[in-house]
Amino acid sequence: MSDTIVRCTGIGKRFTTVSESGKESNLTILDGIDFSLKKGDFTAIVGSSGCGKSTLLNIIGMLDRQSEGVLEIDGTTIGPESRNAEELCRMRNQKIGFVFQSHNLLPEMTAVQNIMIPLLIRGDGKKSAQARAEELMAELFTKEEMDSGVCKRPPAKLSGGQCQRVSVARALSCRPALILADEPTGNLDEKSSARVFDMLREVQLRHSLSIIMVTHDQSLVRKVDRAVHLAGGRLTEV
Amino acid sequence: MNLFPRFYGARLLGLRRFILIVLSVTAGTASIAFAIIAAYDFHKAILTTAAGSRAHVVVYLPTVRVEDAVEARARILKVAGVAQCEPALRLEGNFQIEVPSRDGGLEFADVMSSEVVGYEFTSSKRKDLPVAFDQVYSKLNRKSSAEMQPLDIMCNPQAGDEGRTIISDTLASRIFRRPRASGNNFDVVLPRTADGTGGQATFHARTAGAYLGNALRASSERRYATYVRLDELQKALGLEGKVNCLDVRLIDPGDARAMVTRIAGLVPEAVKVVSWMEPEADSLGFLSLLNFGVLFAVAIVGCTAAFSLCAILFMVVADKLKEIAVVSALGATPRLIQTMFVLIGARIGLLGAALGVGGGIALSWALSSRQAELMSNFYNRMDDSIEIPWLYVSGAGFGMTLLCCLAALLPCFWSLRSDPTRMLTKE
Ligand SMILES: Nc1ncnc2c1ncn2[C@@H]1O[C@H](COP(=O)(O)OP(=O)(O)OP(=O)(O)O)[C@@H](O)[C@H]1O
Ligand SMILES: [Mg+2]
Repeated sequence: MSDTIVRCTGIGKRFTTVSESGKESNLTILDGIDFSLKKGDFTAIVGSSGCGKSTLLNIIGMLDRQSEGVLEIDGTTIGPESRNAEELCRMRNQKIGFVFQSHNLLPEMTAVQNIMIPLLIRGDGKKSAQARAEELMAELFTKEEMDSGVCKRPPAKLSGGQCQRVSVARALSCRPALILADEPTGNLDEKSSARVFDMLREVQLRHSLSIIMVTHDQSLVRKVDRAVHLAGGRLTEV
Repeated sequence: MNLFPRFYGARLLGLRRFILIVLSVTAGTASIAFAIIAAYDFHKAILTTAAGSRAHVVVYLPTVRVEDAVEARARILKVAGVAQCEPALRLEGNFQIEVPSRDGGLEFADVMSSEVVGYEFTSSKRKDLPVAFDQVYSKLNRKSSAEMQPLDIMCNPQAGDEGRTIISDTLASRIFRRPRASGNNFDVVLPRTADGTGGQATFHARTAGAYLGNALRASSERRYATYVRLDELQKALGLEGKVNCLDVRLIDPGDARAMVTRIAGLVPEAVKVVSWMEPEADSLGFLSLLNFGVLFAVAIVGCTAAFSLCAILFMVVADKLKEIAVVSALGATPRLIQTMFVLIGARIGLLGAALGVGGGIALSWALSSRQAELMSNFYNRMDDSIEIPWLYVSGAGFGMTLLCCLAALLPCFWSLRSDPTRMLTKE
């Protein structure tokens, strides 16, 4: 069994844009990306704004489709023409956890219910999903926070850092092999940012997860195993 | 069974939104259900009132002995929907006596008769009325049975108790020589006003036929009735032991036209079978037009409700595009998401339709209990109870539920086609 969890071979992404004068032009965002990620690795992607980091992450997360090249996630190959939506959804649900810049928690649900969602989608029962969600909450929140009832509060009644920790818990709920984090600390102040990152690092080491994190924060880049730089549609090691 | 659609579907809209949408479905369904019930029930009530106490279908026999009508009667009685079938003597036509009142007293103005009876009489003196009746009676008596024609007597006095008594007694004693005879042929329907004393109203007397035995019962509380037995009438007309028709009463007077065809198939071709609806064709035509209008209004209400429901759900779902993108990033398949929206629609639809049907029924009950009050001056008050056409009403509820499911599903299809990655990066 291979120890590679993500392998990108010649991944390219082009957008067709129509200018004001009505001319069509091809916009190449990613241009032959070759990249692989070892199991248990924490990799950061850096690059200037608009260079295509999110686009690459979305392709790896199967939310977006590459224009060319082949993506391999945990041994499953996904080409540009792969269209089996049900199968992709199942893989997304069970192999990948997402953490977004804006936490993207569901506003009508409490913290625990938010964490239960991927488990329910997987087909778990309500009781076991709730037990797992509470276990994750206990892992990522302090005792004082738990006592103040964070579990039962909706996102609107949680701080930014707490929301982001709930969304980390949600990403972890189905015990994925891979976490994709797109500027998870982008909206947070220094202190909560460090806290969320430390926590990601901690669970990554504890559960030997693989993480790809997009970030602009140089102080975090220093703390990860490996950093790659995206520019001009190509990746280079830092 | 995957729990996600139910779990998230129950929370996606939030309680306040959910209640508001359910209420709008309720309002729509209630107005449709109410309109259907009203159209159906009023139509029935109007038909029943119009059919009144007369025969719903008349089978015109040659004037025969009662025994000779027995076989045909037995055959007709076997037809489903037939409530009664009685041999009768039928004197139908247009003999009208109008008796207006001045200064609270009774004065007699016109006594008109149709050409059929061949009698015309005009007088404004009270004492002339018995004379008029005598003359009509003798005219009738002289007619041969073959020429016997339908007879209607209508009186329009401003009736007080005095008027009532004079007219009913006069009619009964002069024509049939027997006041308030029992048995069933000739009934005099008087109005009842709010204070129960009569007053300004219409006095109806109608001979529609002569029933054997116990054909009809009039309510003494609401109506003032006088009767004559068949044998009395036969004697009065010089037709002892004879009848000239079968009077058929139906369970549903509205059926009369269809029943005519069925009954006509049971008797010789030469025998005329007539439905009560034929002479009323014009008014019934207007009634159908009115009913069509109501159904048209129901359709418009239905369309309005459907469109606004679609619009509301469309906007609600459009408001949830980000959430849809999030759960699909978390691995929810399009099928799970669609199931969730169908469930949301079904939940809204079932609850709203159930409340709406209940509301519609409650509304029609409320209206029918006001009916007695509104129609206290109406001489022949309708029944207070309502009849609910369950098939149509539950059909409306079912349709509404289906509509809710579709209205929730359609914008969901549309949202699943839009690019989820755009929604995820939105603040
Ligand atoms: N659907 C689209 N059509 C056309 N251009 C697009 C589309 N989606 C993204 N782009 C362009 O692709 C480029 C890369 O976008 P992406 O979101 O990946 O940038 P990013 O590196 O994540 O930037 P940031 O650091 O600001 O988040 C941008 O220039 C963007 O304008
Ligand atoms: Mg980005």
